[in-house]
Amino acid sequence: MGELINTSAIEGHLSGLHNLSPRKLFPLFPGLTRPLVNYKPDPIWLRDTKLLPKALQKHRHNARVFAEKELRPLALKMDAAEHLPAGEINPELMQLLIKAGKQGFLSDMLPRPLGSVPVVSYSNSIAYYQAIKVEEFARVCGGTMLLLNAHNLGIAPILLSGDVSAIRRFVLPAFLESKLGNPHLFAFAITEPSAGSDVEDGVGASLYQPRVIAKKVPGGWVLNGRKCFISGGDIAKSIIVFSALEVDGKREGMESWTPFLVKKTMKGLRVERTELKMGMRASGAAELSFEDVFVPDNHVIGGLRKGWAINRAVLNHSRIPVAAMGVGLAQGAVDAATEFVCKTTLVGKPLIHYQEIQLMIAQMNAETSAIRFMNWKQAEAYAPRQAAASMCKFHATDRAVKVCEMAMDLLGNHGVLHDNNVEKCFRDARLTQIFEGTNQINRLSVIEDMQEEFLQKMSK
Amino acid sequence: MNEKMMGSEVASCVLSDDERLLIGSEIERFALGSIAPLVERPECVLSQQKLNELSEQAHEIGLLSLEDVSGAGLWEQGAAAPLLTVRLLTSVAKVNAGVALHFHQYALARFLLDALALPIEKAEQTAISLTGYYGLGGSALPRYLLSLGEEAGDIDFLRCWLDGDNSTPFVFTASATWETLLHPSIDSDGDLVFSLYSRQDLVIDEMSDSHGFDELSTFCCQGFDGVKPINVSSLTHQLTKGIYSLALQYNALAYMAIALGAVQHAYKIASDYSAIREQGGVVINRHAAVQLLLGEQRSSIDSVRISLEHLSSSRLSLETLSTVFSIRSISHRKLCDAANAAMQSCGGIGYMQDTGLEKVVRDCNALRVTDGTPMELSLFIAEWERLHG
Repeated sequence: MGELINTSAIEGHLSGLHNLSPRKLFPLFPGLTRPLVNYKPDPIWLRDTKLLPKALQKHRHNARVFAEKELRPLALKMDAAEHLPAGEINPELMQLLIKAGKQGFLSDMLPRPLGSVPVVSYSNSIAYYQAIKVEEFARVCGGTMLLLNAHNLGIAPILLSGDVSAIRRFVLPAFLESKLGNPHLFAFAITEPSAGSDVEDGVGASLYQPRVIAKKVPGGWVLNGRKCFISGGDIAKSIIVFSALEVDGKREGMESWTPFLVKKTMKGLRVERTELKMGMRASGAAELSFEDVFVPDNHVIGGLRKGWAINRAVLNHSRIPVAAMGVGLAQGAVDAATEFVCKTTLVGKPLIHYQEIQLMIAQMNAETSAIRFMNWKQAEAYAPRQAAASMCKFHATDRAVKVCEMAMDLLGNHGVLHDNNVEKCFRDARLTQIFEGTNQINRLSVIEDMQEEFLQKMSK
Repeated sequence: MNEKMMGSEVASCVLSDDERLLIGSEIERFALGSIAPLVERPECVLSQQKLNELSEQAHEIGLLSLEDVSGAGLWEQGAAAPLLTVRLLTSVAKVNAGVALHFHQYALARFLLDALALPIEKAEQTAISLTGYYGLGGSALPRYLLSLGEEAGDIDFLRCWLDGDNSTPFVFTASATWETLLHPSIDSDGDLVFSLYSRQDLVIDEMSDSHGFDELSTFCCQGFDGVKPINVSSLTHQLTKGIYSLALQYNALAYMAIALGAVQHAYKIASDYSAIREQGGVVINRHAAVQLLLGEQRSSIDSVRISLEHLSSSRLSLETLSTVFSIRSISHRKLCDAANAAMQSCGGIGYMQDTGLEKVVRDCNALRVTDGTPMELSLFIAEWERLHG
């Protein structure tokens, strides 16, 4: 990386070749202590990557290459594209899904040969593996990132249910289809028009009367009701629908919640609309209606009345990748702002030479780095704690939005331009504070998970 | 509001409180009766034709003064009484921030053309670019405006800032159909002048999908160096500086007033929604998590409104510029946070275009970063105060 050193310097700083520069002085330390001083001007991305477990270093590299090659050319275009009727997908996005499927990005929740994760990488937690990829994708485009990754949220309940039969019957064939160039997406349907936070919070759930009901009939269940804001629900071939039960005319509450795998082709399932969103526009948020949809018994995932537990387990795993979305979008804003201040001159001098610009760039890097390492550290756990996952989710996404605001401030009048990308980063990042439990609900999840500690202190 | 009240008979007098109230309620009726029905679906962008029709109606009721008539329209009461304009812009922005910005831009163009003795009949078609292509003139602008502590290179810096450097475009927002652009520059004697450029003589790109103000358009102008203006102001340097300082203050007050109105609109949506939406068996405005968000919105609205009313009740002059920038620097941050809190109060639906909240967030962001970000305003204020010792 020696080529990064040159005789010029950013204003207010010594050149790397100056006699007082650590770049010049540190290599002169004795061999005994030279390993304790770092003087290589590696880009921060490389430095961070080297801190990852070996298997994830390569994964991070691959994710960046794919994102730059396949997501970057579509990012601004798809963000500004016409909103298509529910159920339709832009042909260029379909091509992206095909490429992602062939390269294993739609089957990376299981190790090879079942899925596409190198066995050596599977020694790390799946949340960690996903977080690395999601961060790189989100850095380039929140919308196409969500298009590719909401799918894993639909896979997660099947995997976490431990229902081997369901994995064999539903997941493995879908992975194979995707690898062969016929993308088979899953979606995760918990939110109802009358319940957003209630399906993500214990007390809310205990008081909520679900509106999607599965009524027992011979050989299966008949589903009725509506789900809303379902990411990727418009184009998914398989949807995991969480429903309360009605058996022998008795309607049960949230404790009866059961995940059903509903195929797109099942009669009575309709995509009513996809929302006009502020950002992440390449991915649809669908409202789904179920009108007497017959679902056979063997499409119950994980057993009857296991839905609430599976839902909570899924959220503990998925909130780490959502935090990674925040990290990636913040990094995207930092990168766009950095590009702008290095390329734009004010009265003949690149903006980066101005001290106020340097201060903001440093702050944005620090904020992004802080949430990245918070998330990576917590992602190491194979069984993410609720408090840890929620803390990562709300803190990373809150800080990410602030970083995006700083990037817009840095660009000033130019910050409003779509082409400069920072305003898109803001719009995309803004969703991460809301979905997967609002950041308010996630704060309360932290307390729920820590309550024994508090109770113990109160009892003393 | 009749023509007599808005017409030339009151041109130079300061209105009484009762008259202000009367005008205020008239404008509120206009906003709710004429603008609101056209923008009731926030996901549908107001057309240029409808925007023009609203401008015509605004002329008819005197909110925007006619070219040859002075009255009590926006910025017509002058530096002695900007309060009325601030209130009127807030009223309109409560319904639609883009329409409010459009009205402000017309009124500011009219004020500037009139004050600079340039052809006022161009006001309707005149866009304004008040600042340079990036930032707020660094520390050179306060020195120049105050004629204090000027340093070698200041004039060259400001000239380049205002003319462009042939690499970075000027970005400004205006109605799509503008024909002339009013822009300040530094002449060969180092004096401040305003020039009126024909659109045809400039290299202009209309940018699509900009962050805020869907009703208007965002333009990139490649610069003014070497472009021959169709008109140049010929007032004295001191007079022109005074007018420029006033224009900067009018602009800052308008941006705050519009953001305030937009956030009041967002707060209404958020508080109405949280009064009916249930979570955990109770309406969400009974949960501390939502109360904190609503409280933040209310506090921001009240603190900005009171600051703005106080600020715009005083006579503006060159000396008040730093104070106006100080309040703006804080206000936009607060209002952007409040707009975000309104969106957060509504959860998922707050993110959807048809609720209208995401538009408020975008419009407030656009106002925060345009013609002086909080950081740029802070740097300006610091240098200004340093010069004052």
